Amino acid sequence: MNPTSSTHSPLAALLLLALSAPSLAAAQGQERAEPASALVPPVLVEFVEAPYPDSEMESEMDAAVVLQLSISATGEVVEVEVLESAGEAFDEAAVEAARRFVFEPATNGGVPIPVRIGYRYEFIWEPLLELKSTADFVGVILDRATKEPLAGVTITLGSGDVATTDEAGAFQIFDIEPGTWTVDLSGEGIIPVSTEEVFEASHVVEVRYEASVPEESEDDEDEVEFEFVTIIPKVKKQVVSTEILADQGRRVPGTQGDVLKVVENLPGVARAAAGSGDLVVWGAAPQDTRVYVDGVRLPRLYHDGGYRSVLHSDLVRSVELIPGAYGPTYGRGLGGLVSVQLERLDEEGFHGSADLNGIDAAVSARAKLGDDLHIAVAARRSHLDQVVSRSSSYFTDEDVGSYVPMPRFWDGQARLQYRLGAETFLEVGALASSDEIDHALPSSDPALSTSKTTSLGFHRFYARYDKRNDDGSVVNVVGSFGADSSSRVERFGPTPIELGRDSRIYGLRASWRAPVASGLMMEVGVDGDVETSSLRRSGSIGAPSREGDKTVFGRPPPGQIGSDEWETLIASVAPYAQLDVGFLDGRLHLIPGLRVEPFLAQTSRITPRTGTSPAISIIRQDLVVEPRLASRFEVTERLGLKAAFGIYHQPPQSEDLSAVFGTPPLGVSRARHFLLGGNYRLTDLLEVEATGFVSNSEDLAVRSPSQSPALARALVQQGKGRSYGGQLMLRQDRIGPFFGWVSYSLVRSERQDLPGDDWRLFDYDQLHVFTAVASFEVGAGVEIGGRFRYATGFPRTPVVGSYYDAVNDRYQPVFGDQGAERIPSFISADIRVAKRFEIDSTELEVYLDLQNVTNHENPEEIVYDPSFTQKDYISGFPILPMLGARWSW
Amino acid sequence: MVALRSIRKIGYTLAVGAGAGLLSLTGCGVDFDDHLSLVSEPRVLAIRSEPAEAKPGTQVRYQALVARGGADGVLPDMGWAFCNERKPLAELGPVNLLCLEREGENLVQIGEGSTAQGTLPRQGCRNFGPSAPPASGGEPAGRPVDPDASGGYHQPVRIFVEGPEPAVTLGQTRIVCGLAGATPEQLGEFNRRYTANQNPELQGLSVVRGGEERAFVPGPEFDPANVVRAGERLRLRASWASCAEAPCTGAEPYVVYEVGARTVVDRRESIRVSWYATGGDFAQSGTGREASDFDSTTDNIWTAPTQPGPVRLWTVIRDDRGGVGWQEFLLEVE
Repeated sequence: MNPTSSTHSPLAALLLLALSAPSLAAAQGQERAEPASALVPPVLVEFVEAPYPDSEMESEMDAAVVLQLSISATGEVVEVEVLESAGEAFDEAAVEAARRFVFEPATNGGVPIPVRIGYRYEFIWEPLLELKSTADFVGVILDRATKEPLAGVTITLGSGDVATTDEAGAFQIFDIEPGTWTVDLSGEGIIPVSTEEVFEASHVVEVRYEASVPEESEDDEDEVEFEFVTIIPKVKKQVVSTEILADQGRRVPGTQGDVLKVVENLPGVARAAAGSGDLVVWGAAPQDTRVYVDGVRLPRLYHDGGYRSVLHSDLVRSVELIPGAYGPTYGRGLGGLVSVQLERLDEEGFHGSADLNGIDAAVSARAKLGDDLHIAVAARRSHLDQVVSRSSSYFTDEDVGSYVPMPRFWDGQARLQYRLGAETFLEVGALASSDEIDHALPSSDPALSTSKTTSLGFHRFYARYDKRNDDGSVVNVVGSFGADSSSRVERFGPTPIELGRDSRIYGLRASWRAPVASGLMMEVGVDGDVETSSLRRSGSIGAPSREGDKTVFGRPPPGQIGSDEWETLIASVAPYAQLDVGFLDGRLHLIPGLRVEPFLAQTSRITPRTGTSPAISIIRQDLVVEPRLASRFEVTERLGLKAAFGIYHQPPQSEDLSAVFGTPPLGVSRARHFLLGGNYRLTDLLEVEATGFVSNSEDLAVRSPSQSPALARALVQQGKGRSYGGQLMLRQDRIGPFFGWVSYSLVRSERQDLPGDDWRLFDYDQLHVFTAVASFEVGAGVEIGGRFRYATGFPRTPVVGSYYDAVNDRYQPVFGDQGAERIPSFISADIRVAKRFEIDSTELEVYLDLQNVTNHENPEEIVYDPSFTQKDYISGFPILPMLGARWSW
Repeated sequence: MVALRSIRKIGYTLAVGAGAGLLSLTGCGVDFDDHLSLVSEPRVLAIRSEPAEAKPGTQVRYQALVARGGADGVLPDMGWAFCNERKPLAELGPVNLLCLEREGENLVQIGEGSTAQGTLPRQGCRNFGPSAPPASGGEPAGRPVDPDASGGYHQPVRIFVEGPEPAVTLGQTRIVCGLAGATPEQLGEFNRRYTANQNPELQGLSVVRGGEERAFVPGPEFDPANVVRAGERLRLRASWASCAEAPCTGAEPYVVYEVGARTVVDRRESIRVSWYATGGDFAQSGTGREASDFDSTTDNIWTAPTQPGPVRLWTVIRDDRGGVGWQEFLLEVE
C-alpha cells in the first residue's frame, strides 16, 4: 500500500521565516531600519510528492518529517536538513522530494533574498485499490429436493484449483486464472459430472448447484447424480438460442426418447408436415438451416419421415437451436442453426443401453479402455415398415404401405477419445446414416401407375482436437471428410423423374478463443468447406416441385422431360473474428464479429450437351463480407436485453446448377437478420424470453417466368423473401420433479418471385405455433409427461376451376391466388408415461408414448377429385400409441 | 440378480402396455364420388387429329367425340382454335393459360362444331419444339422446348364450349420436328427408322361370360346384339390390333431419341382405354396395357343400370404418342 498524498504547512514556514528575520535586519543594520511589512516569504509553486516508503507499508501509519529548507534568491532549494525525524525511510523520501521543490523567492522590499524556512512534510497512509488479474469462484451445493447443503463434495477446476464443500455446502476458490475451465464435481459415492464456467479477471463467479438424490431402494447404492442449476447465467456465444440438455429432451412427449426430436418443439420452429421431418426455422426453407454435430456439418437432422434423428441420443449432451442472427463462427446458410454437442467421454467402467420400440431397435456402448482412452459406439435400425405391414391386417383391409410410404433407416456412430493432457483431448469418430423408401401404386390404367424409390445415405469421418491452455485460451480444431449419396427414382404414368447425387465433403474448422484483457474475450478462427458433387437428373422438368410452384397434391408432373449429367465444386474458406467486450462489470456485452468468405462455385457444363460438342465449364467467384453484431445487457440480475444483426450468404444448391434444369452461373443468395429481445428470470429456474425478428433475403433462385427463356436459364435469381414476427418462451428448468416450457411463435413468411410481383405466402408459412411441454416425476420411478401443440396449417393455392385435357384424359386445375387458402390448423395432445425399474446396477425404462390422445382429425393435405369439383383432406394419424423399453447400464 | 419384486413390476407394466404397442393406421385414402365415367350432360370425351402426326404447315382435320348425355341431349356450341402461346417453365400444366381464353392474339380460330380443320402453324417447332432461336446480338440462345416421354412435340388445339358455364377441352397434334441435342448421324438414323404415329382403333367391345365372348355391335344405332339385363355385372373387353411393325392401329413399335442415354432406342406404345356410359357403373374409369405387355385387350367391370332403358356407351383408345380412337355403342337394358 502506498500513500497517495503528502502535505506541507505554509503557516509553519512563515513562522520559521519570522524567526530568521532579525538576522536579516541585523545584516542591514547600518542602513536605515526597514519596516517589517517589506519582507515577503517564499511561495511554493511546484510541489513534489514523495512516495510512501515501501518499507513502511506494513505500518499503515501516518508520519511527518520536519525539515529546514535553505532557499536561494532564485527560489531553488539548495539545502535540506531534517529537524524532526519520522524515521530514516520517511526522512529520506521527504528530503528527496523537498530538494526538488520550486519557490517564488522571498523578497525584502521587492528584492529577492535567500532565506531559510522550516517545512513539515506529512505522509498519510491510504489503501490502494487495484483490479485483480485473477477470478474468484464461490458457491454452494444443495440437495434439490430438500434444499439441504451437501458437504464433502470436491470441486475441481480445469485450472487445477480444488475445493471441498463444508458443512454448509459452501466452497470458495480464489485467484483463478482467467479462462473457460471445466468444473468437475466428485466425491465418494458420487457419479462424477462436469460443466464449465467462464472466469474473468476481477470477477466473482457465484453458483448454486442443486443435486437430485434418487430414492433409496434395497438395490441402490448411495449415489448422487448432479444436474446443474446456476444462478449466474453462463456466458452465451449466441444471442438467441435455446439449448436443451439430453436428459430433458429425452423425456419430452412425442419424441419417443429421441433427444434431437425436441427441436421440433422449440420456439421459432414450424411444425413439419406429417412424414416430412423438415426443419423450418423462422420461416426459412428447410435447406437454409444448417445442422452441425460438434462442428461437423451433416446433411440432415432426421431420417425420412421425421420419426428419428440420425444420432443416437446416448451420445448427445445437448442440442441448441439458434434460429437466426448467429455469430461469425458459422455461415453458408440463410436460415438458422442446429448445433448438437456430444457428450464428453469420461465415465468409468462400461455403460450402454438397448432400446426397442415400434419404430426401431437401438444399442449403444461406452467404455473406458485406459486411463486416458474412451470409446463409444451406437447403432440403430428401423423396423417400422415390418411392424406396419404385419399389423395392418388387424385394422384395415387396405394395403397401408400403398398409401403411407414407410421408411427404412439405420444409423451408426463411433467415437474414440484420448486425453492428451489435463485439458487436452483428441477424438476421432465416424457417423453414418442411411434411408430408403419404396412406394408403388399400380393401376389398371398405365397412365395412373406410380412408383417412387428414394435413398439418402451419408457418412463422416472426423478428428477433433481441443485444448485449454493455462492462460485460459481454448483451441479447437476439427477436420472432417465424408460422402453424401442420394437417389430418387419416380414414375408417374409415362413420365419419369430421376435425380441422383454423389458428393464428397471436406470440412475444417479451427478456432482460438481467449481473454485478451479484462472484460475482453477474443475469438478468431477459420471455417472451410469443400463439396464436390456428381449429379444426374432426367425426367420431368417440373418435378420435383420447387417452393412456390402452383400445384396440388397428387397432380401428375409436367410431361416434358429433360436429361443432364453434371459435376460441381462448391468451396469456401472463411476466416472470422469476434470480440466480446464487457462493460459495466460485465453486465453489458458488445460482440462485434466479422466473417469474410470467398465462395467458389464450378459447374462442369455451362450449356446442355449438344451432339459431340465438348463441355465448357464455368467458375464463379463471390467474395462476401459478413459483419455480425450482437449485444446483451443485464439490466438487473433478473432482466436482460439483447439485440443482434448479421448478414448471411448461402451458395447455390448443386441441383440448381444444371444447364437443363437450372442455371449454371447462379451466385450466392443473401439475407439480413435483425432481432431484438429480452429475458426475465421470474425465479432462479423460471425464465421468460421474448424475441422479435426480421429477416430479409434476396437473390433467391426461382423458375424463369419467361415464355422464351434463354438456354441454360431455367432458373433466375430474382426471388426475395422476408420473415418477421416474434417468439415467446416461458421455461421452467427442472425443479424437483418437474420441468417444462410453453412457447409461442407468431411468424409471417413471404416470398416475391420476381421484381414487381405481389408478395405471396411462403409455402412453409405457419403463422401461429404454440407448444406446451411438461414432465413430472410422480415417484416410484414413474414419470408422466404431456405435450400440447397448435399450429396454423400451411398455405395452399386453391383450385377455382378446371379444363379437360383430352390428350391425357384428365382434368387440369385452374388455380386461384397463390397461397390464398390454408390447410386447417393442427391440434394435438400427446402423453408420455414411463416407469423405471432398478435392476442391480442397471435400469429398465418402459415407456408409452401416446400421440394425439384426443384422436383429433388433423388434416395434413388438401386433395381434389379427378374433376376438381370436390375437395377433401387427407388426415394424419389418429391416436397413435408407441410402446418401448430401454435398458441401460 | 434381479429382485423378485422388480420382475413382477416389469411384467405387469409390459402386459398393460402390450396391447397398445401396435401402430394405429389411418385410412389415408379419400373416397370421392368419382363418376367421371358417367356421362350425364353433353361433354367432350376425346379429340382426334387426322393425321395423328404431321409437319407444321400441313392440313389436319379434327373430330371431337361429344357425348350428348342423353337421347335429348343437344350438342353445345364449340369453337376450335390453334394456340400459339408457348408456356413458361413456371407453368406446370400442359399449356399456357392464355390458351384457355375464348379469344386472343395467339389463338387461331379454325372452325366450329364437332369437327374442324386447319393448317398447322408453321412456327410450331419453334413455339413447341426444338427449334429455339440461336444466339445473336449479344443475346443468348433460346431454350428449346423439351419433348415428352415419347420424344414428341405437340401443337395444342383447344375447343371452347359455350354455355352457362363455359368449358375448355384441350387437344393436340403431334408435330414432326428435328431433334434437340442429337448428332447428325443420330438424326439421320432417327429419320430413317421413325414412322409417324397412327391413330389407334378399337376392334371391338365384347362381353366375357364363362370364357366366351359376345361382341357388341358398335354404332350410334341400336343393334339387337346390344342387350343386357338390368343390374347385371358384366366383364367388358375392349380389343385392338396386335402390331408387329408400324404403321398399325394398335400398340405400334417406334424409335425415340432418348435424352438421357443420348441415343436412338426402340420403344413400343402403351395403350389406354377410357370407359364412359350414360348409366351404370364402371369399376375403373380407365384401363390399359403397359408397353411391355403385348396383350391387345383390356377388361373392365360394368354394372348395368337397374332401370330398363337405353344406355349409350363409349370406349376411347389412346396411345402414348397422342393418337386417339373410339367406338360408340347403344345398349338396351332389359
